[in-house]
Amino acid sequence: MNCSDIENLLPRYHEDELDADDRRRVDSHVADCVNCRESLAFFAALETSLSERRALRPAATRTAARVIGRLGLRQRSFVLRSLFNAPGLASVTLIVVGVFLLLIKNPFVELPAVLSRMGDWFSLGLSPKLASWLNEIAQVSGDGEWMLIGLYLGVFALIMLMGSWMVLRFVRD
Amino acid sequence: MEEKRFQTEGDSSLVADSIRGNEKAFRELIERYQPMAFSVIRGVLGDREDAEDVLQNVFIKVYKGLRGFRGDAKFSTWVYRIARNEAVNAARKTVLSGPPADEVDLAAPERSRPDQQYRDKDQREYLERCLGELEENYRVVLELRYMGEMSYQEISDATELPIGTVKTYIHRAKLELKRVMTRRSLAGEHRPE
Repeated sequence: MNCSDIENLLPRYHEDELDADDRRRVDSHVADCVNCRESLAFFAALETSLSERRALRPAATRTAARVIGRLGLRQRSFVLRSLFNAPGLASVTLIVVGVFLLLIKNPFVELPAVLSRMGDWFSLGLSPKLASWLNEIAQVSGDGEWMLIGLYLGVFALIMLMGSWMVLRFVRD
Repeated sequence: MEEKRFQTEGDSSLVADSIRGNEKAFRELIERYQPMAFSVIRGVLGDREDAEDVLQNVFIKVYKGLRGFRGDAKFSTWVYRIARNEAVNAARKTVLSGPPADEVDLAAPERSRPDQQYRDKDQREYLERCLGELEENYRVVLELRYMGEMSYQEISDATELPIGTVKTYIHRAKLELKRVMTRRSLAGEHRPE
């Protein structure tokens, strides 16, 4: 092998990319050839210089912070993240409905009365259409006890369902 | 707890979480692919002050395009393409608006001796000038290998070049660098020791 053949192998020497035979050829050649020995030293130094340029790379955390800032993304707390999605909002709505129903001590008697009272408030000129709709519901709920029991059970089941979904989401995150 | 989970999470899962608005998942994706994107930008643009701005633009484009990422290609390939396109566009803009400042003040790492700082800076600037003379394809692959600390396989995945071609490019780039440095030295340019 002449110097030109050896020179072609040298860039691979320091990356351990030469097979055993080529490596032996290089070793025996550079032992006797000053020029190729200097070339080998050059490639060793080049390897170091190229690796040291990593210091020029900006910190990845800094890039991430700037990009997130420019995009206006903010990490919301778990509570907000759980609430600000469709199932979260549905859960909250159902909980509010459930609490409203539970606050009425005797729904079979009081719910129609409450709805009727609300209908009266709206009939004071604010929204006659809503008032008549509420009065209609009051009439129906006053007549149908089983409908209310079904409503209770449905609401309870949905609250449980959404609650378990939120717990699962929390565990996953 | 969440950060640690994301560090071991696969790209597709991080993409899905990022689309759902999870900022920490997207942060992890940026930190994972920032070295590669920066290497590509350096490979195309060379040593330029605006490389970091271009880098940020790349990840803004990545975020905006997440919903369109169908997973046909690897995520690294997709980010590589965006980074390369963004760098090429930045290079074109420069051609239209005039060249950037030639000399860039490279931030030298903290050292105790000032003369050491100057020597390191000279060496780096000399190397940057020589790198600037390489063919772009060679330079990009060389940057991915050394600046991005990527394996041959990772470079091959991102660039979609066969692994043999990646090795050949790196090999040729080093030989070419030696030729450039020899030519400069024959032309009388002092190579900092």
